[in-house]
Amino acid sequence: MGVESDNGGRGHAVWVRQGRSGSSGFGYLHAYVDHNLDLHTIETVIRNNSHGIRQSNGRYLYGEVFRVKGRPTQYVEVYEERGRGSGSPDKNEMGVVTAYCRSSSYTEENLCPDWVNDTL
Amino acid sequence: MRTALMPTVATEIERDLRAMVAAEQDQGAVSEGQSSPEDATGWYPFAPRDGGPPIVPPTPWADVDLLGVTTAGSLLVITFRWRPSGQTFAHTSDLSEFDDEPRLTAGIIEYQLQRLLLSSRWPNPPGSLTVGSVTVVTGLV
Repeated sequence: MGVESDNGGRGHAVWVRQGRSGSSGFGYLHAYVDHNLDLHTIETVIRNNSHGIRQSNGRYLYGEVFRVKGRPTQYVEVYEERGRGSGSPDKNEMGVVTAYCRSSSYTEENLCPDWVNDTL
Repeated sequence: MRTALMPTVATEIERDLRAMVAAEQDQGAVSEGQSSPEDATGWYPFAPRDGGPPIVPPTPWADVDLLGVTTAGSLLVITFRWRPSGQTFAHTSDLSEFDDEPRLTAGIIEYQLQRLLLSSRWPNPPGSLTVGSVTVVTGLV
Protein backbone atom coordinates (compact mmCIF):
# COMPACT_ATOMS: atom_id res chain seq x y z
CA MET A 1 0.00 0.00 0.00
CA GLY A 2 1.10 3.54 -0.71
CA VAL A 3 -0.07 6.95 0.39
CA GLU A 4 -0.07 10.05 -1.77
CA SER A 5 -1.16 13.47 -0.52
CA ASP A 6 -3.13 15.90 -2.66
CA ASN A 7 -2.29 19.59 -3.11
CA GLY A 8 1.29 18.95 -4.17
CA GLY A 9 1.97 16.43 -1.44
CA ARG A 10 0.90 18.79 1.36
CA GLY A 11 -2.80 18.06 1.65
CA HIS A 12 -5.10 15.16 2.42
CA ALA A 13 -3.43 11.72 2.35
CA VAL A 14 -5.02 9.28 -0.09
CA TRP A 15 -4.43 5.59 0.46
CA VAL A 16 -3.66 3.47 -2.59
CA ARG A 17 -4.03 -0.15 -1.55
CA GLN A 18 -2.71 -3.05 -3.61
CA GLY A 19 -6.32 -4.24 -3.91
CA ARG A 20 -7.36 -6.76 -6.52
CA SER A 21 -8.56 -6.90 -10.12
CA GLY A 22 -11.86 -8.16 -11.45
CA SER A 23 -15.53 -7.33 -11.01
CA SER A 24 -15.14 -6.79 -7.26
CA GLY A 25 -11.78 -5.17 -7.71
CA PHE A 26 -10.43 -2.06 -6.02
CA GLY A 27 -7.18 -0.22 -5.50
CA TYR A 28 -4.07 -0.31 -7.61
CA LEU A 29 -4.55 -3.76 -9.16
CA HIS A 30 -8.07 -2.88 -10.27
CA ALA A 31 -6.83 0.34 -11.90
CA TYR A 32 -3.79 -1.30 -13.49
CA VAL A 33 -5.13 -4.66 -14.65
CA ASP A 34 -8.69 -3.65 -15.50
CA HIS A 35 -8.10 -0.06 -16.70
CA ASN A 36 -4.39 0.10 -17.68
CA LEU A 37 -3.59 2.92 -15.28
CA ASP A 38 -0.12 2.89 -13.71
CA LEU A 39 0.48 3.62 -10.03
CA HIS A 40 2.59 6.69 -10.77
CA THR A 41 -0.23 8.10 -12.90
CA ILE A 42 -2.73 7.69 -10.06
CA GLU A 43 -0.30 9.36 -7.67
CA THR A 44 0.33 12.24 -10.07
CA VAL A 45 -3.38 12.92 -10.50
CA ILE A 46 -3.86 13.02 -6.73
CA ARG A 47 -0.82 15.25 -6.17
CA ASN A 48 -1.79 17.70 -8.93
CA ASN A 49 -5.22 18.43 -7.48
CA SER A 50 -5.75 20.74 -4.54
CA HIS A 51 -8.52 18.50 -3.17
CA GLY A 52 -10.91 15.73 -4.03
CA ILE A 53 -14.32 16.74 -5.31
CA ARG A 54 -17.07 15.19 -3.18
CA GLN A 55 -19.53 13.08 -5.15
CA SER A 56 -23.17 12.30 -4.40
CA ASN A 57 -22.23 8.81 -3.21
CA GLY A 58 -19.76 10.22 -0.67
CA ARG A 59 -16.65 9.34 -2.62
CA TYR A 60 -14.08 11.91 -3.71
CA LEU A 61 -13.00 12.51 -7.29
CA TYR A 62 -9.52 13.46 -8.41
CA GLY A 63 -9.20 14.04 -12.12
CA GLU A 64 -7.26 15.53 -14.97
CA VAL A 65 -8.26 16.39 -18.51
CA PHE A 66 -5.94 16.43 -21.51
CA ARG A 67 -6.74 19.36 -23.80
CA VAL A 68 -5.52 19.65 -27.38
CA LYS A 69 -5.52 23.34 -28.27
CA GLY A 70 -8.15 23.82 -25.63
CA ARG A 71 -10.42 20.94 -26.67
CA PRO A 72 -10.88 18.18 -24.07
CA THR A 73 -9.83 14.86 -25.57
CA GLN A 74 -9.12 12.54 -22.65
CA TYR A 75 -10.06 12.35 -18.99
CA VAL A 76 -8.44 10.43 -16.12
CA GLU A 77 -10.47 9.96 -12.96
CA VAL A 78 -9.47 8.53 -9.58
CA TYR A 79 -12.14 7.85 -6.96
CA GLU A 80 -11.36 7.70 -3.25
CA GLU A 81 -13.49 6.20 -0.47
CA ARG A 82 -12.63 7.85 2.82
CA GLY A 83 -14.66 5.40 4.88
CA ARG A 84 -14.00 1.69 5.32
CA GLY A 85 -16.31 0.75 2.46
CA SER A 86 -17.74 -2.73 2.09
CA GLY A 87 -14.53 -4.37 0.97
CA SER A 88 -11.96 -2.82 3.23
CA PRO A 89 -9.67 -5.62 4.43
CA ASP A 90 -9.00 -3.89 7.76
CA LYS A 91 -10.44 -1.19 10.02
CA ASN A 92 -8.88 1.62 8.06
CA GLU A 93 -10.20 3.65 5.17
CA MET A 94 -10.59 2.07 1.76
CA GLY A 95 -8.66 4.70 -0.18
CA VAL A 96 -8.67 4.52 -3.97
CA VAL A 97 -11.53 2.28 -5.07
CA THR A 98 -11.20 2.72 -8.81
CA ALA A 99 -9.45 4.77 -11.45
CA TYR A 100 -10.06 4.85 -15.18
CA CYS A 101 -10.11 6.93 -18.32
CA ARG A 102 -12.93 8.52 -20.25
CA SER A 103 -12.67 9.60 -23.86
CA SER A 104 -13.67 13.04 -25.12
CA SER A 105 -17.36 12.13 -25.23
CA TYR A 106 -17.22 11.42 -21.47
CA THR A 107 -19.82 8.69 -21.85
CA GLU A 108 -18.11 5.52 -20.65
CA GLU A 109 -15.19 4.17 -18.68
CA ASN A 110 -12.35 3.15 -20.97
CA LEU A 111 -9.05 1.37 -20.80
CA CYS A 112 -6.44 4.08 -20.53
CA PRO A 113 -4.25 4.44 -23.62
CA ASP A 114 -0.53 3.97 -22.95
CA TRP A 115 0.20 7.60 -23.76
CA VAL A 116 -1.73 8.65 -20.67
CA ASN A 117 0.76 6.82 -18.46
CA ASP A 118 3.64 8.19 -20.53
CA THR A 119 2.66 11.83 -20.16
CA LEU A 120 1.36 12.13 -16.61
CA MET B 1 -3.32 4.15 -36.83
CA ARG B 2 -4.10 3.36 -40.44
CA THR B 3 -1.40 4.26 -42.94
CA ALA B 4 -3.75 6.48 -44.92
CA LEU B 5 -4.15 8.83 -41.93
CA MET B 6 -0.44 9.26 -41.21
CA PRO B 7 0.22 12.13 -43.68
CA THR B 8 -2.65 14.01 -42.04
CA VAL B 9 -0.87 13.81 -38.70
CA ALA B 10 2.33 15.13 -40.26
CA THR B 11 0.45 18.01 -41.87
CA GLU B 12 -1.30 18.92 -38.63
CA ILE B 13 1.91 18.81 -36.60
CA GLU B 14 3.82 20.91 -39.13
CA ARG B 15 1.07 23.52 -39.18
CA ASP B 16 0.83 23.61 -35.37
CA LEU B 17 4.57 23.73 -34.77
CA ARG B 18 5.17 26.45 -37.35
CA ALA B 19 2.42 28.52 -35.73
CA MET B 20 3.80 27.99 -32.22
CA VAL B 21 7.39 28.71 -33.27
CA ALA B 22 6.33 31.86 -35.12
CA ALA B 23 4.23 33.07 -32.19
CA GLU B 24 7.01 32.54 -29.65
CA GLN B 25 9.75 34.01 -31.80
CA ASP B 26 7.60 37.10 -32.43
CA GLN B 27 7.61 37.56 -28.67
CA GLY B 28 11.37 37.08 -28.62
CA ALA B 29 11.83 34.83 -25.61
CA VAL B 30 10.66 31.74 -23.79
CA SER B 31 7.33 32.72 -22.29
CA GLU B 32 5.36 31.78 -19.23
CA GLY B 33 1.68 32.35 -18.87
CA GLN B 34 1.38 34.39 -22.03
CA SER B 35 -1.19 32.31 -23.88
CA SER B 36 -4.69 31.49 -22.79
CA PRO B 37 -5.05 28.20 -20.88
CA GLU B 38 -8.19 27.51 -22.88
CA ASP B 39 -6.13 27.29 -26.08
CA ALA B 40 -3.22 25.29 -24.71
CA THR B 41 -2.37 21.60 -25.07
CA GLY B 42 -1.62 19.56 -21.97
CA TRP B 43 -3.00 18.04 -18.77
CA TYR B 44 -5.17 20.11 -16.44
CA PRO B 45 -6.33 19.01 -12.98
CA PHE B 46 -10.01 19.27 -12.11
CA ALA B 47 -9.07 21.17 -8.94
CA PRO B 48 -5.90 23.19 -9.59
CA ARG B 49 -3.57 23.35 -6.60
CA ASP B 50 -3.70 27.10 -6.07
CA GLY B 51 -7.43 27.23 -6.55
CA GLY B 52 -6.99 29.51 -9.55
CA PRO B 53 -6.92 28.89 -13.27
CA PRO B 54 -4.46 26.32 -14.68
CA ILE B 55 -0.91 27.57 -15.06
CA VAL B 56 0.37 27.64 -18.63
CA PRO B 57 3.88 26.18 -18.50
CA PRO B 58 6.83 27.75 -20.29
CA THR B 59 7.33 26.67 -23.89
CA PRO B 60 10.55 25.96 -25.78
CA TRP B 61 9.40 27.13 -29.20
CA ALA B 62 11.38 30.38 -29.22
CA ASP B 63 14.53 28.22 -29.25
CA VAL B 64 13.47 25.99 -32.16
CA ASP B 65 13.69 26.32 -35.94
CA LEU B 66 11.39 23.76 -37.55
CA LEU B 67 13.04 22.16 -40.56
CA GLY B 68 10.35 19.68 -41.55
CA VAL B 69 7.82 17.02 -40.61
CA THR B 70 7.75 13.86 -42.73
CA THR B 71 6.66 10.24 -42.61
CA ALA B 72 8.73 7.21 -43.57
CA GLY B 73 6.58 4.13 -43.36
CA SER B 74 4.85 4.41 -40.00
CA LEU B 75 7.63 6.61 -38.62
CA LEU B 76 6.91 10.30 -38.14
CA VAL B 77 10.07 12.39 -38.20
CA ILE B 78 10.19 15.97 -36.90
CA THR B 79 13.45 17.65 -37.86
CA PHE B 80 14.45 20.86 -36.12
CA ARG B 81 17.40 23.02 -35.15
CA TRP B 82 17.99 23.81 -31.48
CA ARG B 83 18.95 27.47 -31.62
CA PRO B 84 21.13 27.70 -28.50
CA SER B 85 23.55 25.06 -29.78
CA GLY B 86 22.84 25.17 -33.52
CA GLN B 87 22.52 21.37 -33.55
CA THR B 88 20.02 19.61 -35.78
CA PHE B 89 17.79 16.94 -34.24
CA ALA B 90 15.15 14.52 -35.48
CA HIS B 91 12.41 13.41 -33.09
CA THR B 92 10.73 10.17 -34.14
CA SER B 93 7.37 8.60 -33.27
CA ASP B 94 5.86 5.32 -34.47
CA LEU B 95 2.38 6.25 -35.69
CA SER B 96 1.26 2.63 -35.84
CA GLU B 97 1.06 2.74 -32.03
CA PHE B 98 -1.66 5.43 -32.09
CA ASP B 99 -5.42 5.23 -32.62
CA ASP B 100 -7.13 6.53 -35.76
CA GLU B 101 -7.44 10.06 -34.42
CA PRO B 102 -5.06 12.41 -36.26
CA ARG B 103 -5.94 15.50 -34.21
CA LEU B 104 -5.41 13.76 -30.89
CA THR B 105 -2.24 12.03 -32.12
CA ALA B 106 -0.79 15.34 -33.30
CA GLY B 107 -1.52 16.93 -29.94
CA ILE B 108 0.11 14.08 -28.03
CA ILE B 109 3.27 14.12 -30.14
CA GLU B 110 3.57 17.90 -29.89
CA TYR B 111 3.16 17.65 -26.13
CA GLN B 112 5.80 14.91 -25.89
CA LEU B 113 8.27 16.94 -27.93
CA GLN B 114 7.60 20.00 -25.80
CA ARG B 115 8.21 18.03 -22.61
CA LEU B 116 11.43 16.67 -24.03
CA LEU B 117 12.70 20.11 -25.02
CA LEU B 118 11.90 21.52 -21.58
CA SER B 119 13.60 18.70 -19.70
CA SER B 120 16.66 19.54 -17.67
CA ARG B 121 18.72 17.00 -19.60
CA TRP B 122 18.05 18.51 -22.99
CA PRO B 123 19.86 18.74 -25.41
CA ASN B 124 21.62 15.52 -24.40
CA PRO B 125 18.72 13.18 -23.70
CA PRO B 126 19.34 9.48 -23.20
CA GLY B 127 18.74 7.58 -26.41
CA SER B 128 20.03 10.25 -28.75
CA LEU B 129 22.07 9.03 -31.68
CA THR B 130 24.14 11.15 -34.06
CA VAL B 131 23.86 10.16 -37.73
CA GLY B 132 25.91 12.46 -39.92
CA SER B 133 24.89 15.98 -39.01
CA VAL B 134 21.53 14.95 -37.57
CA THR B 135 20.97 13.72 -34.03
CA VAL B 136 18.10 11.29 -33.84
CA VAL B 137 16.22 11.51 -30.57
CA THR B 138 14.27 8.44 -29.59
CA GLY B 139 11.66 8.21 -26.87
CA LEU B 140 11.10 10.56 -23.99
CA VAL B 141 13.25 11.71 -21.11
